[in-house]
Amino acid sequence: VKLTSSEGTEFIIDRKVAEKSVLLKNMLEDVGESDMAIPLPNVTGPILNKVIDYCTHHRDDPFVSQEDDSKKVSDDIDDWDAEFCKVDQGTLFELILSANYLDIKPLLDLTCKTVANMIKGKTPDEIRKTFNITNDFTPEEEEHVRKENEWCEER
Amino acid sequence: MNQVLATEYFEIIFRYLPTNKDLHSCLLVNKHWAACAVSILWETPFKINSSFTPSPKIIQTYLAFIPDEIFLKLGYSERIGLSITRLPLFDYPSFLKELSFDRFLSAAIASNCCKDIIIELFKVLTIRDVRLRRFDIYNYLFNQHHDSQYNIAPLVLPYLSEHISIFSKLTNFNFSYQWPMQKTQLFNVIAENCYNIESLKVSICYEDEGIALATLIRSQRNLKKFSLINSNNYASFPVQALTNQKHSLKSATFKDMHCNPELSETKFFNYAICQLNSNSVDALAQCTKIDKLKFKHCEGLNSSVFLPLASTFSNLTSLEYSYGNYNIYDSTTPIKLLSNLIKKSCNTLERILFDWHSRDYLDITQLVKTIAQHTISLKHLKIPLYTLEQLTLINKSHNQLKKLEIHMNRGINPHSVLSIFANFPLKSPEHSIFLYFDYGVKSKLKYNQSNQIFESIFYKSNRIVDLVLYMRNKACPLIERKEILLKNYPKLRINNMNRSNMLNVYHYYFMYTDPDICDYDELLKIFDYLLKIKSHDIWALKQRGATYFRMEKYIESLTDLNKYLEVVPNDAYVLRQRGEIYDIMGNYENSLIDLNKSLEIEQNNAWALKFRGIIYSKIKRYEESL
Repeated sequence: VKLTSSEGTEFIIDRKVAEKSVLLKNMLEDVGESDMAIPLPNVTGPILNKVIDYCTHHRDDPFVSQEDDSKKVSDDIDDWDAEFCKVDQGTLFELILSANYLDIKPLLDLTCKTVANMIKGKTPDEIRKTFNITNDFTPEEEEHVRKENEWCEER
Repeated sequence: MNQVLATEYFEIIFRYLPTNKDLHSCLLVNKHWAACAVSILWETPFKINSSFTPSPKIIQTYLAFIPDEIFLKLGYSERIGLSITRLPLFDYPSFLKELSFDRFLSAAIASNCCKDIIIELFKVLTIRDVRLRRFDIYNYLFNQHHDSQYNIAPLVLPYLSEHISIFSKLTNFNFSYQWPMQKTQLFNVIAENCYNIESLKVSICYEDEGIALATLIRSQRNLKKFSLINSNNYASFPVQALTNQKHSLKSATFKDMHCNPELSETKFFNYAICQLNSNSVDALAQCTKIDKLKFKHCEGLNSSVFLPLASTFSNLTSLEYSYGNYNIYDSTTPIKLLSNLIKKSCNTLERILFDWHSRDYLDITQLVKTIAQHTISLKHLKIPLYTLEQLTLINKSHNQLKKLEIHMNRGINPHSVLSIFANFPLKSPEHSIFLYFDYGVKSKLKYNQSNQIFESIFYKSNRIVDLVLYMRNKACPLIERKEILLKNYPKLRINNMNRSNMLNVYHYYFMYTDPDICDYDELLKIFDYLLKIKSHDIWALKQRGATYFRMEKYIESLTDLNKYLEVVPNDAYVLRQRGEIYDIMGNYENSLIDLNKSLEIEQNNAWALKFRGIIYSKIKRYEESL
């Protein structure tokens, strides 16, 4: 299967690897095998490269159905995946966007878990520093939010 | 981050946060984060994990949505709840997806809400067209406002029955409230307006309730889970209606079901007496897609009623059976029922959880044999055991288990139990073992012996094991120098069951004194017996060899381990053990051969590396002394 990234770089990958993406899987099923490259205008070359790495590593994983609504946990990341996610924030967010666009649920979960782990246990101020966010609350508004949501501080 | 990621991503990320506290931190980051976090926080504000009481502060915020004049009209001198000068920043009530009626009431009562204010609070929800996915009404017993709740509940419930749109998207409905209360009206309106319930938990006491619930069940499109709790004979109506759901029903639970009149007189619970009729059990037996079956607190249950299930259910993946507080009504039929169910589903069962605290000895050896010999996919087993022989059966045949929980009953020597696990760790690389000792053995596990055993479990073998020992206060074996053991073995945990459950006080009858807890004779007898039946039972050979070793009978130990290694030459654990014996006998050369071989098989075993180092130094000194 041929894919082209947003800058026009061409990637050739196994069909099995491509089918980790539900978007590509459906496309391939609709169109059938063809020599035409599939354009992915929303994904840059370096990011597509990472995504392909991920799909190749996990090519034989069974497809997990999302039926059970058991409590989601963020600390069950295996070593390979943890290493895979050691990238700068910009890349991580682009991976999230691409995982969503290409509809690769396990990659979306993994990257979102990674971000959740960056938030976990931090104070609001530390979170702002981590993600370089400015606080747009007025002191009065902040007090209101705090009061209205006081109950969840207790647990 | 805000510029890059849209709201939908925040939602996915925030749902991975483990605690409300983290979400609360996100709330204060900035406005965009707050908007994403509140919608998640306020979906299920009544969900509680560890404590029984939801914070009344949730209600304080909801109260802010009721205008001042309503408070005045209802006779309050001023508004209650948050003192507000303007509406709250977010429209909190509109996010609600799961409502626990009891917790809502108790939090409201704790905030001084009268009946009419509670109805006003419901209005706040219905005006916003809130559509719940989950609604619970159950016994909220341990609660200081129980009495007022008991009085107010029936008065405010009809309001919800009249505003049925709140239930139109319900998938999870729990009406297991066990005290008499008019449920029929609510069942009827839900039956007419709501078709997507997937999980249903109910308690039935009256004929009209039973009939209304049967109608409700028939009107559903896709019922997956059904639980029946403390009900009487009228429960036969809804159970019979389950045939309509046989295409989708996957899970059935029976909890607190009794047919023993004597139990109703006990002071703890007001049990209804129930004997399901044969039509309803036949209907249930037709629901062959059921893969999870659970009986909980059913000591008074007449199990023979359920025997037909054992001939049709062949896809069970999970089977649970528990009873707790009383002596069982009839002990042979449940064992027959469980054995039959296990045999029929032996290829699919992954989870078998049995939990009971019988004062009397129950002969479950056959049941244990059935589990040990037939279940090929089992991952998680919980079982009470009465003899060491039963434990050997489990240990011998269950290598693939990931989690094993054993409740030790009187008569099992805890030291022998641990030594069986030390000699033969289960094979699964990430399994955990939970052992419950809560019978009264007034004795000590001596430090040296327990140290030896834990060393085998955690270091001599190469498995990652979590071993958790549960001890009940006052009535458990004492462990000498516990702190040192815990420090030396980080994967060992010893938990005290401090919250001695009031309902299980009967255990304390079992105080007796064991003269020597580290006595191996009983174990040896079992292994001797097994080897008499089958002289090449390698499991028994390895166990007996290791036991002789602990008894410091090295020659006997060596004989067994030699025989074992002839059959299984590459068992690194046994090689290490034989190496240790040779060392004790002063035969350092042979000791080194065994240790080296074991290190070829498992290169990183720290224990073997360390031990080899010691032997090298011994040999050196030996040479020096020559």
